[in-house]
Amino acid sequence: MSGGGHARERQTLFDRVQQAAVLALLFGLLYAATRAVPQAAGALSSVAGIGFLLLAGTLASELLEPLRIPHLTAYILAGMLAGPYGLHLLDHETVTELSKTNSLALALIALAGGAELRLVDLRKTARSLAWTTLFQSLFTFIFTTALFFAFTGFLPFARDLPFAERAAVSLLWGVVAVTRSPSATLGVLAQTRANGPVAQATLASVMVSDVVVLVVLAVTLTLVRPLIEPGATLSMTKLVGLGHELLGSVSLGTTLGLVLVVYLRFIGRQLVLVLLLLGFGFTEVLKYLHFEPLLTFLVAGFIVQNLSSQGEKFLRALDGVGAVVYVVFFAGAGAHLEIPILRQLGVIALALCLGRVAFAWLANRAAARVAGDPPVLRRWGWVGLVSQAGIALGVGSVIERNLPGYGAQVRALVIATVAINEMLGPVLFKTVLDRTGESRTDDHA
Amino acid sequence: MSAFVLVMALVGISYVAGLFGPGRSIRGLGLPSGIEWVAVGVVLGPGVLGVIDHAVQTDVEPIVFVAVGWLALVLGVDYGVIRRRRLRAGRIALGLVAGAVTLAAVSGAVWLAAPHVALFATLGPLDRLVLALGAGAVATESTSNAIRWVAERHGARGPLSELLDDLAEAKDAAPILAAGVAVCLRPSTTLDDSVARALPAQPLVLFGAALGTGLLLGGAAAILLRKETRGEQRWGILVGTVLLAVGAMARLGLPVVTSLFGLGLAVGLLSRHRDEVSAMIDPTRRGALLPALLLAGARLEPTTALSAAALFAVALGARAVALATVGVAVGRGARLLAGPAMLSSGELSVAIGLSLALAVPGAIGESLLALSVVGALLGELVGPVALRAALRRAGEIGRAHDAPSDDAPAPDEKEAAA
Repeated sequence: MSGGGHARERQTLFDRVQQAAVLALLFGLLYAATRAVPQAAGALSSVAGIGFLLLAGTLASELLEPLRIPHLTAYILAGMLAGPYGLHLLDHETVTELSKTNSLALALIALAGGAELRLVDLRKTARSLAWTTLFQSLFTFIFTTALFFAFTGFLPFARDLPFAERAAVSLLWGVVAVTRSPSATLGVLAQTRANGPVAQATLASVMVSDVVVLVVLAVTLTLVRPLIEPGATLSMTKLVGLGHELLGSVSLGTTLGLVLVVYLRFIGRQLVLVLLLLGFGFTEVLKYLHFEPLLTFLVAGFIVQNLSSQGEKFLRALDGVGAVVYVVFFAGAGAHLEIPILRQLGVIALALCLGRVAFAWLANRAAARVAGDPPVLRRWGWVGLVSQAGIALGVGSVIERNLPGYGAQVRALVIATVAINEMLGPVLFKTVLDRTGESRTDDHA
Repeated sequence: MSAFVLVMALVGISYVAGLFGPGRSIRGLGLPSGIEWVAVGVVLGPGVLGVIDHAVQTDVEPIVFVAVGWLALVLGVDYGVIRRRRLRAGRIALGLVAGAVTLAAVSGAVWLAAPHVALFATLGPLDRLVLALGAGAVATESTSNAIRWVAERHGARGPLSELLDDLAEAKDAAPILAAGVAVCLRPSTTLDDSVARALPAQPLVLFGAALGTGLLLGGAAAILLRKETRGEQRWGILVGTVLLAVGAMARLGLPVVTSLFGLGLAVGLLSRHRDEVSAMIDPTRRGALLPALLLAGARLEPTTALSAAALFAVALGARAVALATVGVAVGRGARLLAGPAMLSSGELSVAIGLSLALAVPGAIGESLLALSVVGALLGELVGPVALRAALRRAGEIGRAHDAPSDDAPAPDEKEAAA
């Protein structure tokens, strides 16, 4: 992620003006190209799209830095502006093509997430992490389910559903609420280089929540099946499949981690290409094997950090590649945001988001009290858990596939809430890291 | 083979190329032009094993554009500079004149010969001009790789080897600009009607737009790089600018190579971090080149190449005559051998050939790609031998270096050992 810890020259007003002029030039160039040849040239338009988002996102983050807006929020804004619902410099086809880079970004995020988890720190915070995970998952799941159930009367697609089906949809919504965003968390942490109790606790909690979500989703889908499909019986098939998936992912992740350790130790060159091969190629292999890429890479990163002395070298390589890839990832996510849905379902989505934030705060208070966390965690430990992104959207797609008839509308609501949390979460998290003095860059001073 | 697997394989090739380091090719691993990778491409292509079929080739076209564009960027950033030594204006002018002479000779010969070759007998004047200019563009390069390859293997140092190196470096601009004009004469994309009507002298305007966009984006990149000291951010700026330029040019059907060369040139001239940027991107050169060469091999159409063989003979003959003329005019101490010593061509020729094959589909594009490969192959056979002879004649190669063994250490290794 940009904004790494290296020193750089201070930006003057003249620099900002130049950056704004270059940004305007880029928009102008792409505008001219898309108007001169209106028909998109397939994958080639995505080449221009990636380049544009990379530059526009970077420039937007530089220009908005004085406002202390997280870089990733600036990337998202740049993507929204250029996307199909903004200036339409990138059309739907291009944005869909761009999402092919997501597998690389998610692999890097998971590897970095795993490599940031140091066993020494985890041992110290194990008790706090366990209580936080339990309370955050349980509280958020139960209360958000209840809140959604209360709202079903106002939702056009759920209003006329029988009680059992409304309960089923609400339970699935509870799963969505439990998801966090490792990408947003790592994005903010990479920019701020934050190190402290809030940063560490949030990172560990968000990473563990990945696994929790998989389990909660599988269990919930198993439980709600009889409620959605008349005549369906309770089947444990999904749980058995989940067991295979988790075990396989952890095993393969461990193996991959060990291979990476050997590579880093004895060759240690061309890491960019190795990460590209892993992000694109190995992810496909994992999908083919029905393993969970995020968990596999998370474990691999964890192994490299904790079973070898190559962790810091590995993190530096991930930082370097990530700086480029994350800009495209978040700006692409911004271009992907469906503004019309947000406009249509905005009020209900906002209410659901606020409810989720309130439950996260409540769960944090309870967990911190039981675990005996320091005051700073008791006060701010929930803030980093607000962001939502790719995992929530993935769960939304699973829900869409499993709900007959109105699945698409539920997914639309998921997209609307993710849009709000994606914008709100990173801003809150960075503000708190700056406020608690955990940020180590000078832009918050 | 699916496009995805091919892309992964190409990344793997880039990995291997990078792992063995940019300097290894000079010290014995691989030929200076990298032409052996074209042969691998031919074997994997639809004509032999069929692993890389036509559908896959279409799928990976964006990668070809990016690879070729990246090479052009590297050439642009380093244009006029050899190992941090900036060429004098006189040398650059001399190189450009040499390039223009070769270009004019080849283009003229092809223009005259085309109607007599059955494959091109029915071409209209515009297509004939595209063919002639394209042939000139792919047959003008003298690769400095070959000159450095011979110089390093034989420890040659002196005015002639430096002159040839300088000329080879400075000549590059001529074929790149000519390829740009050729593509703009027949742009592959249909412009929106309202835009097309507003452009009076289309080819000229399009060429200006391609080069201007490259220069403008290069200027923008130089501004952004000016205060940027973070390596990863510099990569972001360069990669972003290149992808935007490549994508925009390909969308508009304009010459990617010319635009990206302009972009690199602007970065090289305007950025105060030119040396750092050059050091960053130079090691990527071979990593981008090898996949492009492999795909060039896969795209070769043997039938078209055979039908155009007579034209190739004319073009390469004209090239040899033009280079001989240049050699006689400037070759110090080895006037007759200096021309043949410049016959080696490689990465730029094949990159231009490949981009012309993409931009001008059909017999013309296929022939130009084949010509670039045949030229590189012949250059590989004749160039290094003639260069060795020329340097020996000029007294820049000592007798002790005449028969180096493959396991003999390279000059810089010897220095390090000392």
